[in-house]
Amino acid sequence: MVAAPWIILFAPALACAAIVLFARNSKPLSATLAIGGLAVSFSFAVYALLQSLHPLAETIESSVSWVNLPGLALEFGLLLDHPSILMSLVVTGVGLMIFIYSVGYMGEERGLPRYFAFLSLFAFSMLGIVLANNFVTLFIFWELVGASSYLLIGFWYERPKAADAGKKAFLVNRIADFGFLIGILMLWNLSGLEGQSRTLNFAELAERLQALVAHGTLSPQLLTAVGLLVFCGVLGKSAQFPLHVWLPDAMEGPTPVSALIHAATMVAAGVYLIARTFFLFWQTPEAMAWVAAIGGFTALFAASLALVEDDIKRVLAYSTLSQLGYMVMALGLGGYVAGIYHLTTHAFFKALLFLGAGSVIHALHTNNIWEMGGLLKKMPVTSITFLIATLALCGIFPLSGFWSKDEILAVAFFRNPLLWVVGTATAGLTAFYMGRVFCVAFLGSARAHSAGHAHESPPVMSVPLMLLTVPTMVAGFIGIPHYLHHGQEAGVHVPFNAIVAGISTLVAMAGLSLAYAVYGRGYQPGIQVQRVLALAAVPLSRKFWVDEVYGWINRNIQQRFADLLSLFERYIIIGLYVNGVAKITGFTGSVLRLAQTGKVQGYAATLLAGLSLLLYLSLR
Amino acid sequence: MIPAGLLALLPELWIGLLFSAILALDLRWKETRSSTMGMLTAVGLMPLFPLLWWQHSSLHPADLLSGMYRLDPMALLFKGIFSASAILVTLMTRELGKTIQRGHGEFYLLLLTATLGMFFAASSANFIMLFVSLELIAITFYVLTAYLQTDLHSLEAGMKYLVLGSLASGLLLYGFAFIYGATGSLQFSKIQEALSHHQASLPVPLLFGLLLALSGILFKVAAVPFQLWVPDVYQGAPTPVTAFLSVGSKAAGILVVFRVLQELFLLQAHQWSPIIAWIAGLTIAYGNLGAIPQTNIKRLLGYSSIGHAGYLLIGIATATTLGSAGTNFYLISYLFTNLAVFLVVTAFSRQTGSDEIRDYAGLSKRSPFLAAAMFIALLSLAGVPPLAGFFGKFLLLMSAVTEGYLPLAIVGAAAVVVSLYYYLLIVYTMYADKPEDPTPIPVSAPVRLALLLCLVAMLGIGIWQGPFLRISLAASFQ
Repeated sequence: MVAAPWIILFAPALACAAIVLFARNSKPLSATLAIGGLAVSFSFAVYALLQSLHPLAETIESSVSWVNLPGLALEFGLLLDHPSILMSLVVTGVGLMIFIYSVGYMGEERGLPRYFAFLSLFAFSMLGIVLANNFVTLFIFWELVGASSYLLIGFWYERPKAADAGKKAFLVNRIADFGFLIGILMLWNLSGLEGQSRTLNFAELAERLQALVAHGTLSPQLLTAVGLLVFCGVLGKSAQFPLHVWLPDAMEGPTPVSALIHAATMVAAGVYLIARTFFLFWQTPEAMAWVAAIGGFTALFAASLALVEDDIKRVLAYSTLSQLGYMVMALGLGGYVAGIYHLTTHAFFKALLFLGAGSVIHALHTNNIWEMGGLLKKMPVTSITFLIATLALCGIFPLSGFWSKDEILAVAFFRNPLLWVVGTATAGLTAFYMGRVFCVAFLGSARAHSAGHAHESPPVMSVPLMLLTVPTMVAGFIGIPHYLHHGQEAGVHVPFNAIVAGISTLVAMAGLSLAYAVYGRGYQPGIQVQRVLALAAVPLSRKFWVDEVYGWINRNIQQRFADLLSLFERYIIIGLYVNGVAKITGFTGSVLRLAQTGKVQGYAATLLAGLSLLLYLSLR
Repeated sequence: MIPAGLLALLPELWIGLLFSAILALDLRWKETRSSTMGMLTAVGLMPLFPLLWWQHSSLHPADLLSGMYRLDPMALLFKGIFSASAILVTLMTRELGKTIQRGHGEFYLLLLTATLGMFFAASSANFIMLFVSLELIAITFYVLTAYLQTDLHSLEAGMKYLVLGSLASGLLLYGFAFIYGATGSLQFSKIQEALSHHQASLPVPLLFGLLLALSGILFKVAAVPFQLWVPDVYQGAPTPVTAFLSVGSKAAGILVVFRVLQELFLLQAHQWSPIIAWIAGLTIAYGNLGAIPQTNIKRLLGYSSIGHAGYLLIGIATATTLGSAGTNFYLISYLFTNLAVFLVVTAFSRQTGSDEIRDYAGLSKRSPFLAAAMFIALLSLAGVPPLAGFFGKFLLLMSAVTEGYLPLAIVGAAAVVVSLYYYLLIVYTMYADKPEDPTPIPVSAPVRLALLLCLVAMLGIGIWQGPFLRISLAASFQ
């Protein structure tokens, strides 16, 4: 059914338009429209999934010609194949839970219709990335995601921190997208290298690149450059080092927004982009090596930052960074299926973690884990679901995270042992910081007054939590890797490996136990160890000074340069060119005005004089 | 079996029928029901669109009525443009009911007459037929311009237009006579045949005739050096007439330029193309520079319409398919954009009675809708993406560059900056200045609807150029 992708894509867009037009002042109506729109998308995504399971099912690709000029033909097209079906299911399914949850979490907000309009816009943009069949369409939605995330992160724009965080996210992404855009333009040029009409369609590009490489027309260095430029886009959206700085700050947005950004949309877009353009990366091992290295580094780096964070949402933010590093690393190692698989399972349990954290924040009005404690008895649903998600994130059998994480580590084990070590160490750190959060926030006794009087959240919030628990637990058993594997030739696939799985489970258990011992039981290491740890904590709590370095660059290099340009602009551009030209044009205008005497005889004479001149010049 | 000629003439017959119906009603009804009559005229014109579409999809291009009349994609496109502008202008007239003291019915009848003239001009395949249709348009417009009998400006404008217009008609006829004398025919197809013997260069009598005829037509298009009438006439004429002049009459002129140059004299393109390119460049410069010091919005729009005429001529100067398609596309977007501006001007002057730009101060507070519509329309006129005006300019400048008219393209691009200056001054007045009289300006439902349609068209054509580009390409000479 050709209409399915269009319906999936445009249902949230229509919901957004309807909210803006008709429901600006009605909270219930706006919520209904937003949830309804996404529900329509979700049901059609389910429909597409069922269709695609048929053995004779074909990929649906549908596009309309958009710009059609000689030498410049652009299309607006959608592609519904296995990865995009899976991703649209995740986006709409997890998104739906978050939308419903938002009714409870944001119910008191005055700007609720605005919130739901933005959420729908966000879902629309993300679905556009997922379904796009060419780079132009993808890039449009890529930028729309940037814009709508800006709107949502800065939703409480009256708080300076939230407004700044929105700006930061937008600007960092703009920097990354600049590289991405150059990469797209280079691909556009490459596609016409053998004389065909140029294209940015994924399937056609894949064929062209393969032919170019086979014919030796294309130098490997150039291809690597293109791959790295496209990867720039991933760095921004998926917040990989060194462009990770926006993600922790983005926690200033409402918690459901964080859940949406971290689980189903935005950051997933970067990883998805590598998968979509895997035909490009697969041709260039050098770029792949960079991708894997940056992914691995981000995984370890972000996990270490999460160790000392006291804000529950920020811990989760660093955890997202670290997990995204995992996925990027997997894709960089050629583990196409492993990367997308982890993206899927991570979407479930990370959304669950964020919504659980939101439930706690909603009840306690604090983000600091040291003001929580003892929530297990007072908020049982939140606590149990949070625990399940934590275990899934740590990769404990048989939860979904175990299977996908193991697939990544198995790929690393065979392709690059160093990265396997990094990945396994990250697993240990992950288990430790998640164990810390759980022990401090949920176990023990209340650490603050408000924690003592906490109550479970209303059903509109707790039911989505429970619903998300289901895929968190079973996503490892429903054959996602097999589904993704269908029709995908490139990439490496490694069977289940008991040794790798065993080691990573042991490391995770060790991390969890250590966290329990320290934060649950109050175990104190010796003075010497404490002193070392305190020293180690300094760079961690300062986030390795990355923000400071950027700030220094901004102040001392960029600002100086900008001042210089400003002088140039003020005196040369404005003073000489703009004002000069304006004076000349203004003067000419007033001279021309003199020709307009108002006397019809004069007009007639001018007309005939002009004609005579014309005749003279032509007949001369 | 209905004869094919009758089917081809259906739109013209329909306008005739509508004319008779309005005439009969005008005799029976009192002046007070003029608003209903305006609505009837506007609604009555709407069936033209399905009719034209049907002709487009099911009738073959053909010469009819012993070769006097013909039906081709270009004629159909321009008839669509004429119908749309006629409807919007009728709505404006209805809005301005109280300014026209008497004879509302006749006013609508004259609008219909002019439309009919444009329709026949679009389908002419013979110089006599073409001249008669053009005169039908011109004479109707003389009357329409001077319609406000107690307004000295209107009378003066009508008088000037009549004197200069007659001069232009004379040149046109003179030119046609020379072409007839040199080729021995008035029939387009025969002239084309005769001209195919003069590929290298035209003999003097033919070139002389061509230039004279061209001058007569360029007068209607308002190109330099035949543009001097525009500011005075635009300012003095009733606003709907100005709007119709700036879109309908101009489009008719462009159409005739197309017919004469790109159909009849295409083989001699190397001879006329540089002339048109020069005229286009000068027209763009004149219109845009002259607009800067204006204080009256209708006068400013007059100058800006001269500038747009220059852009329209770029596509003709290039003498390529892409260029003609660009001109057609530009005209489609210009239709909606310029009429949107005039709709705002109409709605504004209905309430305030003023056309002075300084009175637009604070329009954003008095009517946010009108101000926003004006803002968007002005941006589109200047050619800011993603609005319709941008893509038209882009096509035209691109065709100029590919045909080697780089200086012309540079003039066109520079003029965009100049035009932004004077357009944004209006926007500045509307948004930044404080209104002297803060009373809100009511917008009637038909005007609101028409404005919304124009806005949707501006955005739609700008973003989804495909279908409109196809129409423009289909209607240009291959």
